[in-house]
Order: sequence, then C-alpha cells, then structure tokens
Amino acid sequence: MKEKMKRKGPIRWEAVVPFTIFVALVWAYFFFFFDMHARRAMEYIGTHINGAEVNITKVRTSFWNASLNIQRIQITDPNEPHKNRIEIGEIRWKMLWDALLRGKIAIDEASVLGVAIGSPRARPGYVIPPPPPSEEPGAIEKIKAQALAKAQEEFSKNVLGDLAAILGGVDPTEQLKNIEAELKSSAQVKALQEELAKKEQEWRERLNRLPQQKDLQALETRLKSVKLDRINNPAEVQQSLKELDSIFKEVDSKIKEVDATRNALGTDIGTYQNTLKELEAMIQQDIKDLESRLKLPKLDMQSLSRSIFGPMFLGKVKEAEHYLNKAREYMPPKKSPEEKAAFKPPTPHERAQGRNYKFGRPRAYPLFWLREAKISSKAMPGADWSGNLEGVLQDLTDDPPILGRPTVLTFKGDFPKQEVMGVDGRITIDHVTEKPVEKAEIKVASYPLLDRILVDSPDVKVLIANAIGTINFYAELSGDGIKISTANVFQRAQNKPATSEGSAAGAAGGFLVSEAKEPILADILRGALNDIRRVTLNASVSGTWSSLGFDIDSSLGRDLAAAFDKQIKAKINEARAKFESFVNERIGKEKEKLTAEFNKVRSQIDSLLKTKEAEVNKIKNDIEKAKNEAIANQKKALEQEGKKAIDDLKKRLGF
Amino acid sequence: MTFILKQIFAFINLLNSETGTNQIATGIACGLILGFAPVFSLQTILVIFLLFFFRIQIGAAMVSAFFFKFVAWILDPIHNWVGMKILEMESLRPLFTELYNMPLVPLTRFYNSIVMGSGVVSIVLAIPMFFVARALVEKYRDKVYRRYKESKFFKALSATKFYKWYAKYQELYG
Repeated sequence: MKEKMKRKGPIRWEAVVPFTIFVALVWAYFFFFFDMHARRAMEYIGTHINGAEVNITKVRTSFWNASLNIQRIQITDPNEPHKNRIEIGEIRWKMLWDALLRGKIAIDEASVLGVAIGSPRARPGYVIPPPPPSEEPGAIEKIKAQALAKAQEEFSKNVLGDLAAILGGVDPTEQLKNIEAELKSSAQVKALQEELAKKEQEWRERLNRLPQQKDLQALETRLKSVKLDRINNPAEVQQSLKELDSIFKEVDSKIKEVDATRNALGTDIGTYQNTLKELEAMIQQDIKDLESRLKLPKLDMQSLSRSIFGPMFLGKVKEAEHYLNKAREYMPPKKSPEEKAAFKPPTPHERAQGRNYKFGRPRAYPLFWLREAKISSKAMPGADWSGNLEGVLQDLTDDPPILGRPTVLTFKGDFPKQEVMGVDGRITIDHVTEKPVEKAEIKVASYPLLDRILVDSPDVKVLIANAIGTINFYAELSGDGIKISTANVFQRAQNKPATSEGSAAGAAGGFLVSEAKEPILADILRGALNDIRRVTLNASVSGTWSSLGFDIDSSLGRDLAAAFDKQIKAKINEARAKFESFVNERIGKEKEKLTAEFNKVRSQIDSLLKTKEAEVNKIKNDIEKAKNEAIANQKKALEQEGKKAIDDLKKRLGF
Repeated sequence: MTFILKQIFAFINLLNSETGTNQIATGIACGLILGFAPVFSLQTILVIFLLFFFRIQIGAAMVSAFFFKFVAWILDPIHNWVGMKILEMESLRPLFTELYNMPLVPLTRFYNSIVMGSGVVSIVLAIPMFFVARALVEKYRDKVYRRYKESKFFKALSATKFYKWYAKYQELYG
C-alpha cells in the first residue's frame, strides 16, 4: 500500500527544472533552427508574390536586437527563368520592439546593398503556373480581361503578312466563286423586280378606276343637248345654265379624281425611284465587304505601327496590370462606405478561421511597416551583374489608410556591364484614401537591344539586330482609370561588331533586319529598313478598363507606309477593280434591266394620266365655253328686249 | 483511435488515484480554456504557465483540453457569431482600440471573431465546469470506484499475477 502522500502547497516547485529545460529547448530551437525556417518561409512567400522562384542564401536574426540580415536574394524572372529579374546582395533591417510587443512589424530603417539586374542563375528557377480562371471572377476582372483580349486580337493582325499576300498578286477568283449568293445588292435587285411587277399591277388597276371614255362621252352628249342659241325665254336660259352647272360639277369631280390619282402615283413612283438609288450604295457596300473579306490591309502609318509595336506595348500594359493587382491585394486601399456597409456572410473557410477586425488608430502601427529602406549598390570588379544604384523606399506597409502615407520608391543608377545607363525612376503607391492611385515614372537613358523581334509571322520577320534604346515610361492608374505612355527611341549602336543576323544591316548602316518569303516584299523591306538610322515610338493607352484607347505612333510605320505606298497601292487598286468588275458584272445588267423596265412603266402611266387629264379638261373647257356663250346670249337677248322696250316707250311718248 | 483510448485510460487512472478532487477539477476547467483557445496564443502560454507552476492536475488538463478541442471545433460557428457580436459593439470600440494598440495584448489575437467568442465562452463556462467536474469526480469515486473495488470480480482480479505486475508497473512508472 502506498504511504499516505504528504500534503503539498499550491506552488509546484518541482516544475522549475522541467521549465528550465523547456526554456533551454526553445532557446536552442531559435538559435539553431529558426533562421533556417524563416529563410524557407520568406522564399515561399516571395515565390508566390513574384510568380517565380525566389532563393535566399542566408538569414540571420537577433532576438535582443530585433534585427534581420538576409543575404543574396535571387528573384527569378518569370519570362526568362534562367535569369534573375533582380538579385540583391544583402538586406539588413532592425525592427522596433515597441511594435513587436503589439504584434506588429515596424522597421525603422533598412539597407539594401549590392543590387544586380539580369544576373544568370545556377539553374532555371521554378515558375508558378497561372491560376485557373475562377468560377465567378469579379466584374472588374472580367472587364479588364475582355479589354486586354480585344487589344490582343487587334494587335495580332498580321499587316505585313497580308501585304506579302497582296504583293504576290491578288486573285480573288476562288474566293469570289461562291460569294454571289451572299451579295446584298443581288438580293435587293430581285426584291425590287418583284416589287415593280406588283406596283405596276396596282397602278394599272388604279388607272382603270378613273373615268372611262364612255363616261366622258356621255357628259359630252349631255353638254351638246343643252340649248344655247335662239333663246327667247329667260326661264329657258336659266334652265340651260343650271344644266351646264350640274355637268360642270360632275366634270370637276372627275378632274379631282384624276389629280388625286396623279399625286398618289407620283409619290409611289418617287419612293420606288429612291429605292433604286439606294441600290447603288448597296453595291458599293458589297465591294467594301469583299475587300475586307480578302483582308486588304489599311496601308497607313497607324495600322502598321500598331501591328509592329502593339504586342510589345500590350505586354507592358499587362505587366502593369499584374503589379497593380498585387499592390491592391497586399496594400489594400481604404474601403468606401458602400464597401464597408456591404455584409459578407461567412464562408465555410471563415467559420474555421474567423474574421479579423482592425482597431487601428490613425498613425498607429500597421501590421507591417517599413519606414525607410536605403538602397545602395556599387558596381564591383568581379561582380559582373551588379550596378551603381542609389535609392530610397519609404513607407511600405500592408495598411496604408492607418499609416496615412503613400509608399514611394525612388532610384537612380547605372549598370555598366549590362550597358544600361541613366536609370531614373520614381514609383508612388497611394492607397491612403478610398480612391487608390499608382504612379510610375521611369527613364532609361540608354539600354541595349540585341535581336529584339518586332514581327514574327510565317511570311515575314522583322527584328532589331543591334541598337541602343532610350525609354521614358509614365503610368498613372487611378481607381478604374488608366493612363500609360511610353516614348522610345531606337538607334544604331555605335562601334558595335555586326551580329550574325545583323551583318547586312551593320554593313549598310541600318539596325533593322528583315526576312520575307515573298521576294518583292523582301526587296521592299530591305530597301526601306536599310536606310533607317533611328526609330521613334510613342505609344499610349488611356481611358478606363471598360474602354481602352490605344494610340501608337512610330516613325517606322511612316517609313514603311511610304516605301510600300506605290507598289501596294497599285496592287490594292488592281484588286479593288477586280471586285468592282465582279460585282458590276453580276448586278449591273440586272440593275439596268430593272431601271429600263421602271422607266417604261412610268412613262406609260404618265402618258395614260396625261390623256385622261386632257380629256376631262377638254370637256371642262367646252362647258365653260358653252356657259359663257349662254350668258352672253342671254345678255344680248336682254339688251335687245330692253332696247325694244325703250323704243316702244319713245314711240308712245311721241319722241 | 489508440491515442484517444490511451487518453481515456489515463484519465480513468487519474480518477482512480488518490489525487485531490480540487486539483482534478481545476485541471479540467483549465483544460476547457486551453481547448477553446488557439494553439499559438498568449492565453495558451499563460494557462500552461499556471499549470506548470501551480498544483493543477496537468494530466486532467491535457486530457480535457484534447476532448474540448473537438467540442470547440463543433461550436466554432457559435463562437464566431458570439465573437462577431462582441467585436462589432460600438460601445466597446474605444476599449478594443486601446487594447489593439497596447503592447502584448494583440498577441492574444482578441480581434479575431472565433478567438474572442471561444475565449468569452470558455471563461464563462470555466467556473461552473470546476464545480460540475468536482462533483462528478467525487460521485465517481464514491459510487463507482468504491463499488467496483469491493466487488468479487475485482478481488479475484487483484489476486492474479497480472494485476500484481500491473500494480508494480503503476508504482514505478505511473
């Protein structure tokens, strides 16, 4: 049996030793393993933000100093996995205990040393595959995707490839064989022919309803039967006048009937005539449709510039959009009252993780805040990819509204080994208010271009063999609005050995090289590009994501347009003439036949109407004449009677 | 499953031992708080500190924390709702703002709805749990264990070599 246990106090003194061992184990973990785990965690997070592998050589932390030292960070370029987008030799920073005790990370000052760009990697970095499209992308994401897809489609038009096809000569026979049935003008001619037949019948029926010959003759007979001479009796005269009036009214109504018919037919005929005129416009539209079906390219500077430089510029816009999304995801702007008021029911994930509320004050510590990081790098002998770079990153934080200050990055420097000189940039990310604004101004005074492909299609290839470029890049994204512009100048690199591709260009003086399957195109391109010493490119996009407006202006487009002008225009006119002849051949005869038929019907109708009008007018004139005669006779008779009566009176009175 | 059974048997051993009822009951109450709190949080460290340095039954605390973790997982939606209601109270906003910007307090993650809800629920339930646990332990020892110990079956079993070996094992390693 056990001894009855001695009663012990409430404090477990015997736990001191195990607790000490526990503390020692924790210390040992932080001393031996924490740095390694921190390094792995940073690599993981960095990889997901960058979209490609991030490697860190060493991480050293100090608990008492709250300091962190990271050595050799390699950030893989997702577009070129065998190279680093940027490599940083060392980052040193010290955190504030005041913030750490509040569960926040605040870095008062940091140093970034040994910056290199485009350095080669020991092995290609892993690139994270793009995420699958979400089931319900947000409305804004949909609009952005649609706008960029539309621009991509527009810039994919292979203008030079189409030109190659034109220069080879356009034979539209094959394409035109089966097109006749689709010509709108052909269908319209058939419809008009049917309509004319119907109208003719209608008009003739209407004419038949007009007073016929026998009706007019009856009126004529009535007129002749009226007594107009040897009138002795005023009452008889009155009777005759009455009869004349009645005939006159009847004739008048017939005349009105004829007039009404003439007006109605006139309007109908006018309408049909206008429809015939529209047929001509339809024929021209059919010719234009044929031209677009056979992809006759627009030979103007804008189209050529967009075709050549559009994809390059669009790539920059997509890159800007990618970084914009990241910035707005990791440094969210202030929520508008509408967004705050919108209630989001908890998702299944949230029920396990809960929802975090923020009770920050203005100027309080955000969860993460890097107050100032000085970037300083010197090009060192032996370190081929490093450069001379000076810069400052200020107020990088995950909660800009709490901090109340925008994030600003400024940098200036050169990378002599890579021949990138005069780099000067300023990037501002202002997510303090509800309307986020991002601005970037980056200038590079000179950077090399080697074998940069501008056009790459099965028919034609154009590339910049060996040149020096200058770029002024400006981007301003504010809310939903976007304004990006870039001004580039490419010119021949001085005193450079010719590359294998550019030997012809190098020897001749130009820096643009071309290849084309079509010999005429190859000649024209060679001739045009050989003399070009300098190419300017001004590209911009502005508007909102729902309506992007691209404007690309390039001297290369102008030069190529001028070079192609004569040859291509002649070919295009030849093709256009073939289309016109094709359409006119099919439609022209039918159109002429229709017009002749219409004219015939119209003249027949006109003639019938005129005859009717003449007939009724004749009767009307006869009536008026007879009426006047009767009135004159009556007057005469009355005068005679009056005279007689006066004579009688005179006789009676003895005068 | 084996691990769960081991915990159950360990707890039964504890109940059958001569450890004080108050200590076991306090251990169970602390286990409730531990089970409802996030694994890596300041409040977990504080409770473990109390378990280490005060005579609270660690075994009971760990076993009950293990089982209360499952209960907490089932009650997470309720904790989330309670936490949201508390954190969204306008009258408490100045207090939470002060706490959020103080040293150390944010390490409790009180600003998370599930942490707040489960913390409040566990603190409210801890005291009644202590009394309930103590009453249950006393009842178990009085009614179940004593009857079992005086039964013919147990007397027969305790006379076997196996039981003697088991008792020795418990004495040395229990």
